[in-house]
Amino acid sequence: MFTISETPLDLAALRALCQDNRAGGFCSFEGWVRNEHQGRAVKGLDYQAYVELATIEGQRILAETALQFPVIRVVAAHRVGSLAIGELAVYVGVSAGHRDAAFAACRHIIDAIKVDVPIWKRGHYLEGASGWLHPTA
Amino acid sequence: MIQIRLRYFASFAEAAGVDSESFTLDHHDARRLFDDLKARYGFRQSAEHVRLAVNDRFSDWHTPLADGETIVFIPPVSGG
Repeated sequence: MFTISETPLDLAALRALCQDNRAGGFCSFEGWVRNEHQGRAVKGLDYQAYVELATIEGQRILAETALQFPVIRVVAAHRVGSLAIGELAVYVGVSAGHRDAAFAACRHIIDAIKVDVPIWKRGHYLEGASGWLHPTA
Repeated sequence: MIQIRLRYFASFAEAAGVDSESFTLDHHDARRLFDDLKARYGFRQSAEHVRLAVNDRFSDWHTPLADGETIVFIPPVSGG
């Protein structure tokens, strides 16, 4: 299940979605708002999503991951809105029979989210400037 | 002539000054539409770094636009 949330992500609830009696391992990734970006001091980030397409793409990534890796449950969630330093921006949780698949699938999901899901962040910098981030490889 | 609706996100919304608008086009070319908007609003990203969505699905730049579609030009994403 992939969700986009305007309110703080509920870690316990997301983790609970991964629990399953067949699972012997669980791996999660949390993306947090960091206090600097490319050497500039950051005071916060705004996240904006193209919700309709972001939800479709997020669900596609999770479904494809569940086919590619021997996992049991896959969950991801992304915050939108204004986030402060240290806040949770993105969560990925994977349960599996064994740890190798949980680690690999978790990594695969967050990497794919960062490439394909239409969500953007705008940095607010301590010196007063702000700007949308559009990284090109 | 076709009528299409555009939605804008992130720096494209900032540059356009609106979140959405409608246009009547005398062509069906997504690349030409993007280049016109880039010139009008001063989008910084070139088309090579922009993806296209039609009716909330990623689409191909070469697929002709059709009447009634909702078009989104997607600048490089920065989620996570």
